[in-house]
Amino acid sequence: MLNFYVRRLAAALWQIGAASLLCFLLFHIVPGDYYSAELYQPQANPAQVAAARHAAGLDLPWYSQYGAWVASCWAGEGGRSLAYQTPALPLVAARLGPTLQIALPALAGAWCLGLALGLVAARQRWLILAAEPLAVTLLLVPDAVAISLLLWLAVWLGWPVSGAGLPRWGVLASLLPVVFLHASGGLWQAADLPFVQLARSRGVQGWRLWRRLILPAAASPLVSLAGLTVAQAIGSAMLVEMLTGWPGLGPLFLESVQARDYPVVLVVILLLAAIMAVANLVADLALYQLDPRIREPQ
Amino acid sequence: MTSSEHGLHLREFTVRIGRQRLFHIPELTVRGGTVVGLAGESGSGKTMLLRLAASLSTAAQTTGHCEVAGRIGYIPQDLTASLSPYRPVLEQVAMLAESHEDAVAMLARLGLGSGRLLAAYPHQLSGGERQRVLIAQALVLSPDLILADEPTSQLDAAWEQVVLTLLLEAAREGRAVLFASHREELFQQLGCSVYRLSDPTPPLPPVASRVRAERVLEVQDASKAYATRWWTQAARERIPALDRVSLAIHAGETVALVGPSGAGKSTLARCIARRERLDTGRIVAGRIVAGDTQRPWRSAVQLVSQEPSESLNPRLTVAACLAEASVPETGRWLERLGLPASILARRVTALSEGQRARVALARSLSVLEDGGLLILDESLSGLDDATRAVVWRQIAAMQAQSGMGCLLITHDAKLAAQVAGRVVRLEAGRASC
Repeated sequence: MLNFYVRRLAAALWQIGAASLLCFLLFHIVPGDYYSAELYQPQANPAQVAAARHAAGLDLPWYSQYGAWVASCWAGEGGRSLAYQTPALPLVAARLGPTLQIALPALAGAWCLGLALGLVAARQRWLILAAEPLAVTLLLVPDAVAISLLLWLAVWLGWPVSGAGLPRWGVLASLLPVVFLHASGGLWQAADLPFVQLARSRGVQGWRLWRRLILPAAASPLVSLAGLTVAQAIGSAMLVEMLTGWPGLGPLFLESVQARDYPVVLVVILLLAAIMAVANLVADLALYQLDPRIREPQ
Repeated sequence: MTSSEHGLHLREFTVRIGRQRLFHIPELTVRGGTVVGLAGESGSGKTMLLRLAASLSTAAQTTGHCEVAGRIGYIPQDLTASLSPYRPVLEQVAMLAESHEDAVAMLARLGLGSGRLLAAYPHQLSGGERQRVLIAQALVLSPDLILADEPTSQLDAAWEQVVLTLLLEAAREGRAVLFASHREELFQQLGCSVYRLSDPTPPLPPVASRVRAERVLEVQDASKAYATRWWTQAARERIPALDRVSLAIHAGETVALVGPSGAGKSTLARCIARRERLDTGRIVAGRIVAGDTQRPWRSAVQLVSQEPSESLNPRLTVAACLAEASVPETGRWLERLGLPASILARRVTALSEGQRARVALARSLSVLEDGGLLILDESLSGLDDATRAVVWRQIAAMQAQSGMGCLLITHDAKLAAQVAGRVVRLEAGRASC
């Protein structure tokens, strides 16, 4: 068991390391940098730009730059933001809190609501037929459009537009159809498995049937999905923040990309990768606990 | 408790699949206190009738009168899908019983009373053990009508006796028992009346086989152990499955491999077919040494496994399944094994267990090249005698013609004596002749 944890943890660390190198190389290949972006002082002359580049270490070969960045990560700085002239990691970390304030309640809400609705729909099947078109429609509308519509609706109805409320509802709306469709579909399928049909024909009914046979059979795919929706919640929260002006990771990310402030962009991406790796790790461990075919030796 | 009014009554009962009529029963009554045998060839609708009586979903349309009175205890034939993989065996029996103690007592009667087996999950049990769990499930319900579908197909002779005794006891307590099987001798042992869904066809005369000098299989000192935990390879955590097994099969020869459940028979078969690797030892089939690439191996060795339906993709039709292995002249292969060419268009899921076994066999036989080896791992146990005779005739013909060797794994001592030239016993991973 311990061995299983260690293996998965090692795999997660390796993934994050590989992601950092890939992103770094990608930014290196893309032409231009912070000093060639439009947002850099337009009145600076080429000599000043070259001096600034040299001071930031951008004229070194890529592997030296990467080495310096890794060393700086080790020191807890994650490189220096070129725009803010401060260490990138604390800059990003300060914005993570507000993003989680949006993403986590929305995630929890979407799962509670989605599972509850899914359970009801799987038991009253006509509800699936009624709810599915709605859920699919919600799924098809791009997040940005949905949030804009929500903003418009809020203004129209006189709801408070500032604060965390609206962004949370926005993220919830983007997650709910995914959770609902998987939950209702998975439970519906599980309720038709041969051993469930057999138990039903033998008089096992109601909550006993659901708790002992159907829910365990439906749980595994939903747990995998839960790991994936963490990343989706944060991505969707960042988008909502950009549209509503909530001071989370989203606006910082957008601004850093536009200014080509790559150290900040890199740290944001790695932070997301780390969150995703941890979420998947937790999901894997939960799967290990849930499925006796993985857990118990043959 | 139970009375003679409990039971099953069918009158002018017809079952169709699509437009095809599967069977028609003018009258069949199973009263409380009696055992009725249900006989019929593979695919005649035995399982279908029992599922209909247990009000489980089927693909069939029915007309006529079907009356079921009392509580039903259905023992399904499918050992894999009928148990939840997520719950321990004891819980799955106890949830049907009046009390926890009843469940433990019933499992103990069926030899599953040890703490290890009670706490085990279905995937940790052998086929025979799983079958006994399904029987325990049906019996703890204290049913008025027991519908048993080939309930001894995976059991050795001793456990078969226990199960037959349990069913006779149930009848003496006033329960009605409908017992579907393709084995006539079981009906004789139960001393019951028999209802036939189809008329038996007379068996064909056997084909004489001729054993040649060259070998199609040579197993030398094969050893294999399973890790108790999947991540460790440490020797102290390993359970030996095969212990220096040596075995040779000549061209045209049939060798039966017998032994108790869990002796390593299926493991050896899987190693020969390269579904698993040996730890040490060597396996040679034809002129190919184990460790070469996969491609020629499949034309030298074919394994038809314990549950042949699991090797057929349930989404496909029979024709598509056979096309997967690029079988030429599909219709002819099916015909040789006693299947009508009309089933080519049917989905695999719409076939009976016995028909599926023959489709899997047809696919394997067609892939084998001259001098190949066919391994049958309990794969013919779902067939009635007449159908099995047809299948064996075909296998024997191929043995005589192309020098095919056959390794037959079976619990059925009668079958082993009939068709095998040599019987090898495997016990606790060791082979003896």
